[in-house]
Amino acid sequence: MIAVFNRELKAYFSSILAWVLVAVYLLIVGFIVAFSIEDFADISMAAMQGGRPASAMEQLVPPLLTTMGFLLLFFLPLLTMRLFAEERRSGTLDLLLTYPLTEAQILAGKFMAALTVVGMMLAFTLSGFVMLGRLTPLDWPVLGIGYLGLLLLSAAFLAFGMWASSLTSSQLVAAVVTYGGLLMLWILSGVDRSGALKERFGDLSALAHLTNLTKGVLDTQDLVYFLALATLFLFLTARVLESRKWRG
Amino acid sequence: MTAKTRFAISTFISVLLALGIFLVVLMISRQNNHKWDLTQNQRFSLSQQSLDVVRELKEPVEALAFLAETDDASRQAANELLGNYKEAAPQKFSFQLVDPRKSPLVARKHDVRMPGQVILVSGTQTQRSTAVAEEELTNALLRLSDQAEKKVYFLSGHGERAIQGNDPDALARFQGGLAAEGFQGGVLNLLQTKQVPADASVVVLAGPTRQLLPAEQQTLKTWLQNGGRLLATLELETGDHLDWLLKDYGIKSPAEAILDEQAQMFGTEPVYAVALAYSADHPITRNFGLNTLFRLARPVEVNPEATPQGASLQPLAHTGPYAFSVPAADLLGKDRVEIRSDRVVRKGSIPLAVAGTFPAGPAPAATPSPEGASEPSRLEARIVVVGDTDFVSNELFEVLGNKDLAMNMLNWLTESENRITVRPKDEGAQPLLLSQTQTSQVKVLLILAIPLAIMLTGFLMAFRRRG
Repeated sequence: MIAVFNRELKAYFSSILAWVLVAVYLLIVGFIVAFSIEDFADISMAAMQGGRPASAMEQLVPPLLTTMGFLLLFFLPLLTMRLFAEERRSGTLDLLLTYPLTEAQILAGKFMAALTVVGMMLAFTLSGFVMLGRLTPLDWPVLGIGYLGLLLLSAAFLAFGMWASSLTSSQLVAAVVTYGGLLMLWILSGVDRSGALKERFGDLSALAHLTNLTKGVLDTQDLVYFLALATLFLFLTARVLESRKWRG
Repeated sequence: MTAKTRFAISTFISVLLALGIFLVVLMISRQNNHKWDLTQNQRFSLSQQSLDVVRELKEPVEALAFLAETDDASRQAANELLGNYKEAAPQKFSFQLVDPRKSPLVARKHDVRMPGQVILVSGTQTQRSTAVAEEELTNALLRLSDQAEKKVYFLSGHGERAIQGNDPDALARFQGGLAAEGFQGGVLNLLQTKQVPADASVVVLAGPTRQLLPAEQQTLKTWLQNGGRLLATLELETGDHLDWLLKDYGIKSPAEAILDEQAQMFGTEPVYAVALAYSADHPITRNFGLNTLFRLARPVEVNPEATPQGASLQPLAHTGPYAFSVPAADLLGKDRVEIRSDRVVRKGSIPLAVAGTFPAGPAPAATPSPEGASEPSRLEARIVVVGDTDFVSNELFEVLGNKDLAMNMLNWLTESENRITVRPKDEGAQPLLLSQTQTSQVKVLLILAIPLAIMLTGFLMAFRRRG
């Protein structure tokens, strides 16, 4: 697994794509964070004059974290699209499958490498909150829970993206399928307006589960949702890889 | 069947199984979830008192929250808050969000004229909460489980503060606050009634400016001996008028005026005093973290030499270290406050209120209970004495933590300690002050420096690899 992990991580950072992705993500997040801080400064002054102070941990940080999660929806498919589709197109997937490695090890290596890239990307975004923390008191454990939520969301999104990538040899198709699927996962709570599904299974939308975590509420239901979603799509990817053996 | 077909079927079955397990796991995690609110002030959790109240409900309660379907933000907040109550006691509490425009008959049945109200229904009984907020909801739940309203009588006839009217000195807001907590207010004139009514839970002596007649004093004493409950607030000028009461119960209020240099922030002479320290042991002030404001207050303290046997007396609130007292006579009749250091009686941490419990004794034979009036049969009398009446006046009642302190006093006196005052959850929020330089620094770092550094690193790596 370590070998696959190293190989994938090297592949990410030796191509300019990963760097551009990280830089553009940070540019957009930085832009949103900087202007939100500026807006919040105005809002909090007005709120203070109104006698009810505004709290950054209530009105600024959770929406920012949710926006960061939403932006991941556009960036992660670009990270996962090549994971199997490219190998399939170039014929290296069959070679990889002949190595003395199980599908699970291959999957885990690729998955962890992608997650490491996202983890680094998210770690850089902390700089915005460190700056904010120098200007107003922040509740760091709450922010930590928010970042845990983003990492879990990324894990689930990456697993979905890997599954989509394993289905096709076209990176473009893999990316489009991932976009569509992730968008559906994001907006699912809006679709289920009657709440029938929610009543039975809890909220199926990733947004609803992330929102809880960004507010600083650690609910086992949210953790289980993301972990189960990631496990499900990793399992489905493993089945797709396995199917290549008998398809011939 | 070929190996390929068998494999295809097994793959298909395993995929279906995986999807099934995924949904089952979600269902189980929904039914057995655990939640930790890691926010500093537990913003998304119910207070312990609310949890106790909803768990101890005797009958199931259904909450109907009237909110427009288009008001997504309010509905989400209501869902979260009411969901917390339901989570705490799923067998006893349930809720529904009702759009008053879509269900006008339900709204009319409960006399809901505007959205934002919650009606709590338990059997045939209902209670209204005027806001979807924890404090209002929990107190409405308490009223629902304790339908017999407790009555608070304000003694009148001796120049006490009026309980109605917009006069800044009147106690209308205090009276309104009591009603909101489910107490019923009334005026008591002992010359007319000759006795404390049987339904009186508390009698309030709000700064009488004239002496009570001996017969009235005796009536009140008898009532207290039989387990009555009394809140006495003093006036600087006439606090001595209650000496007949205080001395018997081990409380004294010297004729001093408390001045506080810290209170000059209110832009007036230092006639205001801020209470900063509270007794951590007493139910009234346990966990009480708000400052309270008094005006021209007298010290009120325990008199250990006169404490009755079996009594338990405790000072509730103290001023900060910059407060001091001078003889009341130095201020009375003066146009402005002149502070002379040689006139200072005491400095710093001056007691402002005392609470005490006293074992109830048999009613003296001399004052038999008149027909129709049943004396309270509680085991102990409770008294709270505050060295100022202004702190519950219209002008100051809603300032700082005055309302919370006054309500806690009433709740303790009526043994309704489980009635709560939920602190606003945005405490500790501070405005974000951003200078022009700081704004520029934030923008340069986040929009330019970091993304550019990453991009350059990427180009360098790519360049080195090619080189």
